Amino acid sequence: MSVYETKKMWIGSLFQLKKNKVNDPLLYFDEFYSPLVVFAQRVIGTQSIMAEKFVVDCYVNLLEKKTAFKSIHEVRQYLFDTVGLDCTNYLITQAVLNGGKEAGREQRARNEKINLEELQTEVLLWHSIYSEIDSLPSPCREVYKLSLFDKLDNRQIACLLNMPLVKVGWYKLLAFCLLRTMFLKKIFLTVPSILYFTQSSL
Amino acid sequence: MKKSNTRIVELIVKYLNDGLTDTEREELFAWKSATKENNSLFESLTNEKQLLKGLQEIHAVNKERGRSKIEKALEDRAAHPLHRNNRYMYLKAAAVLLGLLGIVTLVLTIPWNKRTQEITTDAQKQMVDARIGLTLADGTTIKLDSANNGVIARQGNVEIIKQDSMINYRVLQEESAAKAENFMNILKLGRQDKRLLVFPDGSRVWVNAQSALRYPTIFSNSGRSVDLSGEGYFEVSRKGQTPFFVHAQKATIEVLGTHFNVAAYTDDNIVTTTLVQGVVKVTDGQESKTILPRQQVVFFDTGRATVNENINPDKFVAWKDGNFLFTNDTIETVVKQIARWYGLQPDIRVRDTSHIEAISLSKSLPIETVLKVLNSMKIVEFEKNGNRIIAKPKSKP
Repeated sequence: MSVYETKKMWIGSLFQLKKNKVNDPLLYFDEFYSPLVVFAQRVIGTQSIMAEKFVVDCYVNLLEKKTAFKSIHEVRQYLFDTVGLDCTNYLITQAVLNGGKEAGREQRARNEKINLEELQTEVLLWHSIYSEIDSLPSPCREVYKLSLFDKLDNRQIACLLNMPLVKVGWYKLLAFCLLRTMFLKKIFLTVPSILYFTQSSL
Repeated sequence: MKKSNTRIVELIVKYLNDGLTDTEREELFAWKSATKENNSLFESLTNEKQLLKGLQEIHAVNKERGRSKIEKALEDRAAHPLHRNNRYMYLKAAAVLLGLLGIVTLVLTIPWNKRTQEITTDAQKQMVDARIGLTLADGTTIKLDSANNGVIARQGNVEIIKQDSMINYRVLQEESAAKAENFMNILKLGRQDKRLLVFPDGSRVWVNAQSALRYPTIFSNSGRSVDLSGEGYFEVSRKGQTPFFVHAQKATIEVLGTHFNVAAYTDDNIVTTTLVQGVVKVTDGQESKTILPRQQVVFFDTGRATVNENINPDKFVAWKDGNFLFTNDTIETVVKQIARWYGLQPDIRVRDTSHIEAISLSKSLPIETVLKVLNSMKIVEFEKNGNRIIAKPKSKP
């Protein structure tokens, strides 16, 4: 299916769904903005400004249309499809501008499409896990994020958050336990436990 | 990977959490072993390093910046709406059909060549006669340099808003848009000036110094058409199958929704169309050329046309960002461009084929600085004498 046909199909479905206005547009933002940006960044490389632009444009078009969807899954698929198409178009245009051959364009677009589906699954999973970390109670969340994403050790976290060193250790342990019980036992038994036991100064 | 992404994520999360039922386990493993891609995806989703990297990327996204950008874009679009109410769609369609019938009848009674020539001649004459500034349909000219930001004029159903170097045409009521079709405006710029025009259909045109653009305040549904003398960079919004025409000298450029640059200075006697994005069709008399990105078509006044392949579009649109960009350009080209911007007369006294290899200069620099930089390249000697810019052989030490 060509880019034009896919867009046409989506426009058709949006037109039908206008009768069913049930969703809050802001829900789409919190739910999908971050994974969409990562998705776009991965597709077009390191040009994060362009990636952000595609996602912002996609949201603006969606919100301006005030379209309602039957389910949030349809919203998600619309957003990923639109951003994916924009990224693919961008890559094709760049390839042409950089002297790409006509013959290779369709093949590249097809390859991109296969990768887009896989990538969508990956970023959705990362975002699911990230949301769980984000839902930890406040002190645990900050401590855990500083440890996991900023690679700070307990002393640095204690200094930064102005809290006793022992407390940092306990918050980390608590976060770890909460996550384990809440979600994804296997993953958090491996990744964060390595971080925890190598950096902990309990 | 045909199974829905959500279902796979759900199953993998359950798998990682040891929460799969027997049926779900079978479903997941059937999907995993179905193709190599599925298997590698499954492996990557459960790979610690990749997972951590993905989480870090999600963490690095600046959501607040995104939110404010979206809010700002929505506010901007609300202030300058492009999407119209469709309540009178059928009436409008009927009116357009009737109009089209009339136009077709008229068109069939006039020979094509004669009609094109007349339109072009008349438009060119109007642009030559126009004063520097924005000339409205009633003949009044607004001096853009001295006009304050805000609404500078209203013509029928359209409001003209000036915002620094941008001129925005905003339709007040879509229902009576057809009445405004006959208001023709001319934007004519002098030296060291460039302006951005934003049309009600969302199309944007940057007009370069010493150039003029003649256009209707609102485009009709049957076709969008403007006349250009000088140079303009067009970002045309797609409006269904409604074409956009640019008439420059004898050439006509036809597009649907693309980005391209047209240089048609009368003293050059050529029309150069450079495509950045999309596809354009350029016609001059009997000759017609269709070009793709990285291509450029040059129509000479003799009627001959050449297509240049693999050009760098950045070089031809650098002016819109306020720069001179010379890459392997002849001295004549360089002098002409500089003279045009600063409102001087080019005086080329070198007959050799010297080239400027590569240099980018801001157009905000004073002429003296620009010439100093060019002289430092030690190719030929540039000099400003009165209202002339002279390129002459380098004097021997």
